Amino acid sequence: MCKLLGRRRKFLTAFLPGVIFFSAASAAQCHAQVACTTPPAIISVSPSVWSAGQTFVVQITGTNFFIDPTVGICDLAIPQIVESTGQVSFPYQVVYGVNDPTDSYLVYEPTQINAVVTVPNTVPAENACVFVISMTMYAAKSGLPIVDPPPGLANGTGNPCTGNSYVAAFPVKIVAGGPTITSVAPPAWWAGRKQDITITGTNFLTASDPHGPTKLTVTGSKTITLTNVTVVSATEITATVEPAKDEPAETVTLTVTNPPKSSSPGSATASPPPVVLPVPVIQWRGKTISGDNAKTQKVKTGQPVELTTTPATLPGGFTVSQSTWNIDGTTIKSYSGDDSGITLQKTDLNKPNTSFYWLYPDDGLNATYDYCATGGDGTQYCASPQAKATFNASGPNSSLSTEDYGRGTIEQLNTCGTNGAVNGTAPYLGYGDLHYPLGVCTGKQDGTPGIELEATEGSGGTHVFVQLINADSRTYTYPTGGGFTCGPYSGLDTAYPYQGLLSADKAEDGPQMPLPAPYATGARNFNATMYLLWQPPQLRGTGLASIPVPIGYQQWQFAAITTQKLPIGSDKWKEPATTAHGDIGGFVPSQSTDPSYGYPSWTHKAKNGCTN
Amino acid sequence: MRSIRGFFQAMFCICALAVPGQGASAQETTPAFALTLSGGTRNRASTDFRIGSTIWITIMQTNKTSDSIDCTEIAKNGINISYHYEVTDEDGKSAKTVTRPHMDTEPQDVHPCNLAAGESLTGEEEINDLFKLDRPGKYTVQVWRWDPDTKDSDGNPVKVYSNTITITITG
Repeated sequence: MCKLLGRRRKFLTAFLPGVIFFSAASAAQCHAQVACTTPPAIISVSPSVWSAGQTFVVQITGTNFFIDPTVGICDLAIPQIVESTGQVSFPYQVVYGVNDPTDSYLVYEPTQINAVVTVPNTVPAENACVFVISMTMYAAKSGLPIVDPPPGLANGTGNPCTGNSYVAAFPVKIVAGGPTITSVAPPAWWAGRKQDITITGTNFLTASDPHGPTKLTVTGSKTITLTNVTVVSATEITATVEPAKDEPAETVTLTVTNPPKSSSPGSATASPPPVVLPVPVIQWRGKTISGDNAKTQKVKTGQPVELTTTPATLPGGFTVSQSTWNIDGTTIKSYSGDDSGITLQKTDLNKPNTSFYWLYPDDGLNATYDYCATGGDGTQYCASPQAKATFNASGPNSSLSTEDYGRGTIEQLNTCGTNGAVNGTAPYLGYGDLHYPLGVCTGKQDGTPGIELEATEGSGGTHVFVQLINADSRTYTYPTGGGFTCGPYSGLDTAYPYQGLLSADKAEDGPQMPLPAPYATGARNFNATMYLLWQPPQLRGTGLASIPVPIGYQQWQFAAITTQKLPIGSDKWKEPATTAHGDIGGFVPSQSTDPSYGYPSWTHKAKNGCTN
Repeated sequence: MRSIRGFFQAMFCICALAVPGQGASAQETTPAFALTLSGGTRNRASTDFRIGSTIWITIMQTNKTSDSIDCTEIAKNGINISYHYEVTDEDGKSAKTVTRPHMDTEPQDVHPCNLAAGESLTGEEEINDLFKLDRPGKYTVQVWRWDPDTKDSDGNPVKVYSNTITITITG
């Protein structure tokens, strides 16, 4: 039997009554004699100095650890040895070795225990120890089975024996850890703005600490100004940060540092790092047009403005989650027109990139943009610093002047054969004096129209005319009484745009209606509105087409009645009694509050075929 | 308007006619313009239509001279009758024309027009206002227009034809 060598480690005495302690040296001696009563012994623990708040792989080397040893941390504040689960996490692996092969008892026993030790940051600096409790020991002796052989032990015969609970202990030292950072709030900072932040963590030194306060630093690619740094407590630091206006989208390094001689020396860096959300930038035609020194841009109304923005991407798991444009003045995204009508689309103001056309000339038109960013946790950060670009949109100061070329007249128009040759004439009631030149039967006209509408100013673009018929009707009566009325009709007059063009800046019209022989009277009532639009030249440097923009409109009318001279069928008609002709109300400029922003609107072409 | 034209006529210049589908008199002449025909409208091109829907064609007149030319439009019931329309069915028969009451009273609104050198003018016509296209099938469409400034050897104005297109009408 091994002799009790007494309690070598006095510091364990107070809380380990009933536990028999043996030193490492005495344990080896005991083992050589009687295996069943050999206690464990710890030869070394490496490392033996542990900092709070850190994790270590600890090697516990010794003897007689035996099967399923219990390993733990001794805490002087704990009266009994317990396997430390709350204080220190201690998963361990037992390494088995083969004992002295000359021993008559073949004992397989562990000789090393590898443990992963994590010391919480809350554990104060103290002297502690590692202990190993060996519960049972197994010896192999020929002829007897081994109960619960340890892993790797060859199945053989043995003499199981039981014994007391033996514990071995080894001192370790726990020292206080350095500072730690748990969180930074908010985790995203706007460039060019001051923001108050709060850093949460542990082991911060306040100003009252002899080695305090904890030092705070923040670094990025540009200047981040740090002010009002206050260590409020061991767990909280407040400060004000202001990233430079031109700070790009990036993560920054935030570090807290305690001096080496302080109670918790070291430094810690925030992870995840804070993110700088940059000031947005507006770009047009490949150039930046926003910012402090941005110049006012020039564009013509009806020319395309396509604006792009940055940032497109953000670091640290942040995304641009909401874009907001504000555009001064009247804009539309697109315009398309044909004989079946026009289509207008509104500008999209909620995407990073937007495109539009200004419709009305003005100076100092602003386009502003800001965005929201959303972090990986779903928190949204909105109302970024605003980017602003300024435009002067120019356009013509056009209007329409009208020339009224007279009352209704009876016109003799050519009738035509299939070869295009004139084969006669027929009477028409017309506005103005349009007629086919003699011998011409191909559509070409001569004479003067009833009304001419001329744009008063050019300005380098093209005037576009669109005429809508408001009401068009004709009435015939029979010599014997009765008659019929066709209409009124409305819609787009002929083709879009209006083809009654003499030049780029003029439009004219001369409604005519036939006077067939059987009728006693013929009357026409015609009311139309001519819209004036202006289309600028294509924007230089781009392949993007311009669109026409509305300038205004002019309403006009023609109404006349004529009577066939007797006898009916003579095709001789009296000069008409004209009841109305010429413009109505003068030129009316377009306004942004008009329906369709002042654009003419139609759904069909005007058709004057009789339906009754 | 086009003083150079008479010079070529006087010289009996035989020139290759590049305008597709053009009908010409015995003496070849160079028309003042070309006509390009397509189905649908400018914004919605199509040659497929359903019975009862509006059947659009688009006609583009392009000035081929160095002077301005006439592009007068005569609108009758919403159709530009400065153009002449030919529509035939799959059997080669002319499509029936639409009739309306009092067609002899339908007004002609004349819009004088000058087309600048090299410029084009485009219009869209609803040909089902001219022709009864109320049966499914394929129809061939072609338009022509008088060229008042170009005369054949007989002194008659020449006809300028467009290309032909085929439209499909389904039930």
